[in-house]
Amino acid sequence: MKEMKNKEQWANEVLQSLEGIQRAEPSADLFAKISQKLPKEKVIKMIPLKHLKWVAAAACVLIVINIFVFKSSIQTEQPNDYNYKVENNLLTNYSIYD
Amino acid sequence: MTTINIHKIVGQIALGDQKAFHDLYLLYKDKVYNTALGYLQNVEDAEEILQDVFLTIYEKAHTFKGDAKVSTWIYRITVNKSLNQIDKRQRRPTANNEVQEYHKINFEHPGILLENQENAKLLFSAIDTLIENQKTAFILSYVEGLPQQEVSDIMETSLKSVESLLQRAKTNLKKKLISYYPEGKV
Repeated sequence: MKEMKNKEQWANEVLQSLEGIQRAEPSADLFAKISQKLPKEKVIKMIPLKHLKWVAAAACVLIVINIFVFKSSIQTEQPNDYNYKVENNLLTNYSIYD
Repeated sequence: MTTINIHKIVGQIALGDQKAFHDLYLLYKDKVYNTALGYLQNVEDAEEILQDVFLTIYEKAHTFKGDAKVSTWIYRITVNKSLNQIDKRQRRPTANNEVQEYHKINFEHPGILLENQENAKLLFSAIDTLIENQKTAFILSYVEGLPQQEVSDIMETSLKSVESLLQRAKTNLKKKLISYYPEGKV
């Protein structure tokens, strides 16, 4: 029992051994080594403005087409008054020889 | 240095500005090096990671999203590269691994107080046995001394998860350390 207590106490002491830790410093010549490995010219990946204009124009056309299709689909779904009345009469009046 | 200035530096690096790159190196070299040292417990490997991290920063600066802190982004790169290096090391031939193991048990962190060196050697050896996420939470919190909120940002997890990871890491470390208890010690 006492031995276990001693072990636990010792483990706690070891766990606290990081207290007061200072930051270590890397070798001074490392930046020079990194600089040597850098590509001579940085390739900057950018989308040219000209391409963006085309993308924007295509997006506008798509939006306009979508609005047009949406509007026309709403119009075809709504029954006009005359057709609706005729349809209703046909359904409710079964005396076909009247 | 303010957050805006550091973001500006990264933006300049994205355009290939080498002076800005040097400024960022001076700001973060010690953080990157110490984090890598905590994982790899070997000076040469940690310096290799340091070089690799800064080369990645230079190449990928244009992908940095301003919504995260620059330090969080850099720590994330460092943690990933260190974990990859550990994976590579484990896949190396056995003879090489034995040499690495010897160095790890005898690893003396240059920043540890002299009176704590012997205990710290054992602690670093025990840290090496932790599973990845417990190891990351422990190193970032206790070796790097980062606040738990920043650790959770780097690990992309919740604050509660970090607390629980640290709790489990400490319990496992304690168990491991008890198994290292020197025989005959009173």
